[in-house]
Amino acid sequence: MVERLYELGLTEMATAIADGSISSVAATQACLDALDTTGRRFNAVVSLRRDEALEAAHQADQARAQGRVLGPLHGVPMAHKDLFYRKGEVSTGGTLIRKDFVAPVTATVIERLDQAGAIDLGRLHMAEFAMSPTGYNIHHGHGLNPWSADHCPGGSSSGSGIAVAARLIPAALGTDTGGSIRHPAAMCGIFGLKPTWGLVPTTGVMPLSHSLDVVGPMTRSPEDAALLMDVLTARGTAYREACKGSVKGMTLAVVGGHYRTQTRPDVEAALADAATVIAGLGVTLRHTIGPDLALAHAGAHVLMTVEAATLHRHWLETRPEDYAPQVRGRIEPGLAYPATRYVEALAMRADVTRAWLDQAMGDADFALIPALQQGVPTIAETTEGDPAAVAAAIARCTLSTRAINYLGLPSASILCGFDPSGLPIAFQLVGRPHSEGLILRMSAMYSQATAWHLKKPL
Amino acid sequence: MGGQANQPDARALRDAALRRAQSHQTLVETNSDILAQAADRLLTLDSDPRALDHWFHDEAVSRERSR
Repeated sequence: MVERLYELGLTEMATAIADGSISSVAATQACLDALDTTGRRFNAVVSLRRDEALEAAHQADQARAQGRVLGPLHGVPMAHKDLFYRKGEVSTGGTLIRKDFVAPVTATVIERLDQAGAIDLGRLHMAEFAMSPTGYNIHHGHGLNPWSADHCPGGSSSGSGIAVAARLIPAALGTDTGGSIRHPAAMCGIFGLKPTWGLVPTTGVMPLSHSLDVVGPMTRSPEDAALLMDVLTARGTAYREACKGSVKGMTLAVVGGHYRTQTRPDVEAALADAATVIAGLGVTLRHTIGPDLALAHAGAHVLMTVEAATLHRHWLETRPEDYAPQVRGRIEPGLAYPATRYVEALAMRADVTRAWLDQAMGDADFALIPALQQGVPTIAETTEGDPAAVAAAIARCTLSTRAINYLGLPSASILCGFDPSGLPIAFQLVGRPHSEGLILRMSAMYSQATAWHLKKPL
Repeated sequence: MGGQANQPDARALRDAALRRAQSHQTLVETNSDILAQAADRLLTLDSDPRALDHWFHDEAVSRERSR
């Protein structure tokens, strides 16, 4: 078994604990120590449940000794973005306003992980109220990218991205309202899956925008994400089984138009290489022109800001100084939209989705688009200097992600290379509603063919 | 006196709030125009059911031509 237990992937660690190669206590201790040292150095950690986690790990080892199997994640340590509630414990949501908020319920997805035998190590860094694509947090400090501490780790699930990429834990949960799983997955070079809206329960998860929020896995491999998806959706082994099929004879739409308007040449080249690898798996490539996304972006902005402003109106009025200006400034426009715009944004959603599928994908099984057209930004360019330039740098992060939430489609962020500075480059694999199994299968085959996901930052 | 150095300057705060409000207004107006324009073609009682396809196509062609 490897010297550093915390470097094991999710499936590998679950198997090793199940067959007795390692104990849950040893794995849990190793991950806790890694989070407490390297994790804190990269500002990935908010709080650790050291005593509770070690006690749960001890019980998992005892159960195994008695021949009892708790579930597919028996004794496997994980940690999650600090917005998944556990009854009676503080969940800050990355904020000052909720720094003492004690959750009244446990999130359904946390209950499912508990039932599957997972060990909960604690809470990870996130953007304030899940409102930043970069990992910015004025209260907890900026998250740091393990490939380069001067660069953004991506947000809002920043700690999940950092901790999984740095091999401190095998997997984590994130949430995605405009790209918050896919940004940190792309910037930290891991696998992140934004499921179809509504597939994974969001009960007990701090909301940002009910119409757009989703919960999903952040792992190092698609196979590990499939295992987590089986647990999160309570679907047995459906996603793990889906990973095992072939993609031969399927069609991939390589989408141009909006998705190539600001793409950096080295990102363009990495995406072209990825498409070539996928073609080598027996997949037919088809080049399409995606529709203009002005309407989808407008709809996404209306839904997100109006729903967020509804949740935040009281605090915006009574505690405006307790928000970072950048965060408050992104919520406040929601107070200004007329109700008719909100209804229009909801009413047009299905038609806009159908039109996107028709034009971007046609009869293809998947669509390939960039994750970040301009690559990974520096922390400085998204926090310092001219406010308009800062706002533009932040907005560039979501160019290819935010419309996907309005469309409600599943999309994975997959590592496909590194730029000349050694920072990750990723593409998105978008599918039709509820095609997560196919996305995981294609992602698994691509990852096995390239092995980009095996590269380590530290 | 030492504490005053950390006090936010009232004028700077007011100017920042004004800039933010103007920025919000522009954003809200731009998005509202886009939605209203599409809604006029899609959501009225006599809308063409395929209007969105035309709208998307027109926008995409326009963008391609402007590149």
